[in-house]
Amino acid sequence: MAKIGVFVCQCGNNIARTVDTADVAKDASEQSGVVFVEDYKFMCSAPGQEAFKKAIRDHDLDGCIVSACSPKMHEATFRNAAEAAGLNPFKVEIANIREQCSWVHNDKEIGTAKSKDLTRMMIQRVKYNRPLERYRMTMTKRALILGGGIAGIQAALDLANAGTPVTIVEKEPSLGGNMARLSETFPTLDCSQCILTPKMVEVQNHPLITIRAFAELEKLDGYIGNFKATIRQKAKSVIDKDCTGCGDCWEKCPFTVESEFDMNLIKRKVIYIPFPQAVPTVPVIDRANCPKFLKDKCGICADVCGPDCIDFTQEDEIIEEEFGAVIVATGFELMPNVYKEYGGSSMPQHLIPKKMNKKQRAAQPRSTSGRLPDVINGLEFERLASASGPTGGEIRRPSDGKKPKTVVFIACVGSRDASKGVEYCSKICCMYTAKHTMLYNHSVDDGKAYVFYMDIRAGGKGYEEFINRAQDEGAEYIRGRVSALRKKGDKILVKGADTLQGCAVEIEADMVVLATAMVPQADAIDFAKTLGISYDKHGFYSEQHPKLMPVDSSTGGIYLAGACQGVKDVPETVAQASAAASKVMQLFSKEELMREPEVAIVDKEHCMNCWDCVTVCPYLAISPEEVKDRNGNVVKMVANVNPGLCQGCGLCNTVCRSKSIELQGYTDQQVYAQITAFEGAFV
Amino acid sequence: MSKGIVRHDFEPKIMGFVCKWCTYSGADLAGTSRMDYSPHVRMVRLPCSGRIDPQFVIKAFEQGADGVIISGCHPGDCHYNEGNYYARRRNLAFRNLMEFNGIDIKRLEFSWISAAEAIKFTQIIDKFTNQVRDLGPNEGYRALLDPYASRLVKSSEESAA
Amino acid sequence: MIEQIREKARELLESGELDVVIGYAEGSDPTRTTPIFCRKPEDTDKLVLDGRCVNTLPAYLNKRHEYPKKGWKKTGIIGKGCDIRAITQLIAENQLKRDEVYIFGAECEGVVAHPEKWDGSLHEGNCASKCSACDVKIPLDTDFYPGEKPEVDRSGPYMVSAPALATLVKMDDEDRFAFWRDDFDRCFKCYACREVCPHCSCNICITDRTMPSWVDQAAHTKGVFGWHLTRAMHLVGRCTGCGECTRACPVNIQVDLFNQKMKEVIQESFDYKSGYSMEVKPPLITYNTDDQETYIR
Repeated sequence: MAKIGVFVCQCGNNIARTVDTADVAKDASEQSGVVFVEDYKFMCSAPGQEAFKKAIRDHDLDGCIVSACSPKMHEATFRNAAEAAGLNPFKVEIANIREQCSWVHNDKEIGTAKSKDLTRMMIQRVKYNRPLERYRMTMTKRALILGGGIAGIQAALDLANAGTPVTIVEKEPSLGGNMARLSETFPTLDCSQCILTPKMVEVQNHPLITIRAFAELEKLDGYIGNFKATIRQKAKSVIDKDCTGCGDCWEKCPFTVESEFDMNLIKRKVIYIPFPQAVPTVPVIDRANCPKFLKDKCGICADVCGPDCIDFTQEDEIIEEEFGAVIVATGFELMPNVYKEYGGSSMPQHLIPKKMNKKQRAAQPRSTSGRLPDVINGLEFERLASASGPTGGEIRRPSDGKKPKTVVFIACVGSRDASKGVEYCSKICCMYTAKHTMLYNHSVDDGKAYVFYMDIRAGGKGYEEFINRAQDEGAEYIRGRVSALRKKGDKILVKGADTLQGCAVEIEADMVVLATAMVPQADAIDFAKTLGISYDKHGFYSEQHPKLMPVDSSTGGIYLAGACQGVKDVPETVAQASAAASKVMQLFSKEELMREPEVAIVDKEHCMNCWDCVTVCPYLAISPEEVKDRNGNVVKMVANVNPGLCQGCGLCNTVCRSKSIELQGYTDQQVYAQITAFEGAFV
Repeated sequence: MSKGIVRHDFEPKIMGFVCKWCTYSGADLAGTSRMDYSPHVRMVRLPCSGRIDPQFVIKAFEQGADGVIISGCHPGDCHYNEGNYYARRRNLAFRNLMEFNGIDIKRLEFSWISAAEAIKFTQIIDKFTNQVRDLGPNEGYRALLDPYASRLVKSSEESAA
Repeated sequence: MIEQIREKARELLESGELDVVIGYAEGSDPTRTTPIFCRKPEDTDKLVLDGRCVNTLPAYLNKRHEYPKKGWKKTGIIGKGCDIRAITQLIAENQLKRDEVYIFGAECEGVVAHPEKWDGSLHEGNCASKCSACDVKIPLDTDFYPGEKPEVDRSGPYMVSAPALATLVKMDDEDRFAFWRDDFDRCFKCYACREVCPHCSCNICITDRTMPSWVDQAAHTKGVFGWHLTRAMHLVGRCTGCGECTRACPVNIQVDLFNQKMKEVIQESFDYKSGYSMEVKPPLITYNTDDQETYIR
């Protein structure tokens, strides 16, 4: 006869307000096998746990139900407590009467009835819970970092400095990401590249860091501690190990195309490094635009190359490597200017189908080059203001190179508006727009900067002061939206509203800067599927818990850093990258990995070797095994589960017709017990 | 004291079989966000929608359920990469089978609800509860001759009393 | 035709290449045939093959049965086209190896719906409905075939469902439920449907399992519903439509209507036909990312 204890938690008033916990306890006490019940204020408190342990010891319980909050909250707490009291932790189950009962049903009678039912179902279930032991696993103590922006760089340095070997995979030819594009950073106005490039060099020189630039992750198999990554090293057409980065090739290259790094504001060579401080300083040939590849003409770069390291026949290389943890730091991009009223020209964002193939997505305009050439976005302005940018740091407008005398900055383009763009606040725009006005005022003495804004959001250390400084330095802030941009001669007529004055405003501007919303990379959702992590409706990657597990993805061993998880400025990105790195260190600090024992086991007597389980297993964890008699003759074949590979999905259990394979922790008998305890009484 | 929930003449008994990664978490989120929804569903937490065996559903109906709801992660979002694809196929076949057996297929709900879709969760639960309430008790199955039935399942009048 | 098969069977038994040949012989009355296991070469004279040969012999090849365990290395079997599909399906499910069987095939005219309807010949009035659009009258995979095997177009729908199915589908849910309830009321769970099935290959049937007993063992209507739903679900995409379950039913329940319905669903939804390939996986243990999901909210 089972000896089950039932512990009903009042959770202060959280549960007790809409559930009569005493009644739930009384009902549980009447169930067969229940020898102990307790109705307690806070089961998770120290005295609550002590009472839990004491009951297990005193009554020699062989199964426990805690009717409380979601198992996601305190299942581990009570399982650990049970273990301390000498009861196998897997003999403890949680009945979720808070999240799925007291908090959602405002009627005490009904809430109590549902709680009784849920508790009763768990009581029956726990009778069939088997004592299970956790598995010990080895792990590969190397980390894979996806994305070489500031988040990836920070995480890599933190990990490598703690002694963990790291590989960074970056799709562009150089590390740096979006931060390398920035001119100065708020709120201190220090030069972005000046603070970023030393870190890039540190990465390059670190013995424990391997940089795979111009490479992409194709596939990720395995699980926490034992991932297997398939990386495609795209053909650079340059042999990295021989290249000295002398620059002869790109200086002599006679062909140019628009530079992606400089937001298409200037041309770059066809064999190129994205920017002078690139790491690694190995150029790549842009095969789509190189005449050598298009028409088999030219080839000057190969002629001038001293170490003879240009290789036109180089092919993509597929590299398979093993890692124990993955940090995703794939960053963001800016929403394209899709607004007709702002001079954009393509279809509105919300009409762009979510499911596009890569080609269609690539065809979407990335920059704001719409009908009005002098309407640019924030990143384009950064390049104009950058000392290493196309204008050498002088702010000149793209169309004719004149110094703009009047510049209008428009905040919240596409953000905070679900009907026309994204509903979230892009968060960094208020600050960088203020920064832009300052950079502009410093560069053009007699210039006038106007800012159209909805609200100023400057919640950060030194941020409000920074906004004030921008206003003091001459930026004129106008609270209101812009309704249209029109071309007027060589100027742009900005028609807007000043909602504080209650009047219409018209400004003739030489240049307009749009603070377009930060959005996930165009292929973020496809990439999430490659990784097997979850994402929200915008394509930002979801954290395990919004407050308490902000850097863990939904999949064990994969962590998130930077703007791929949500809009962030640089300090937040760096903080999250360091947090992700410390999570990886925590994982790697243990000798072995403890794996939950909720894996499949086979009833070898009855397995009829149809191999349906082998076919459906997503992890290739099941394989045929020979059963031999005492003379060593094979008498039959049965399925065999490798508990190291099994992730406990239970697909095999469902497809097995004879029920000869079952998922421990979710066995048929447990579910059956739950179903048969179901009464569904409304009140 | 809080406002009460309206009582109807007939209140359906509904079982839910859900994936712990998505729908169960979505239900938790609905809880943390204090969203009100119909209290009829009793959910069984499973690792994946691919673990939901048609036997569960048959047994739930035998046990006196008026409706059964199955829910998992959206296609492509399965924690185990492909479990929900198998679930989708299996349930397509199973629904046709149930329908052929003469069971009103409106009593069997299948949905994709992610961990973030608390609102969708409450909407689906409310909608399905109303749908099953309108259909009335699953008399056909309940009336099947089972000499042990009176001992196994309480009829709706008994449990209401 | 049967003469050539007899001759070949005798030859192979004499040479010892085959240990046994399973076929049909004259039955207890002129309307019936009975399965025969020819161990001796002279037994092959008893072999017959005509419209009365309704039994699905591959059921004997199923590992669940004792026969393959007698130490016979290679078994010869005489198969109609549909039987050979069942063999193919068994091989696909790893219940049999191709080199363990030697298949004698012959062109099939169809079989009688029930031995009681046999009047000396096969005609529209007594032919089984499964035979009317059969595309394996010339069998697929054979080791011995008398004469030249002609090429056949097998691209169309492969079996016609019983007329009763169409009538049932048209009914509303309540009537259909009543139909089955009345039929199932007669079932006393003799499991003849399971025993004749070539594809029920579990060492232990789910209905014989306790802890948990998903299917009520008692023969009350609720348990019968559970059993037939479970059985039909287990045969989705595997049933090759021989209809033996219905023929074997002592209380005339048309249990194969479930299988026929599922056959239609599977063919429409997943474009799958069972028993045509040893390599293609049955539909429920595979998937396409763009499978139909109109029923999902």
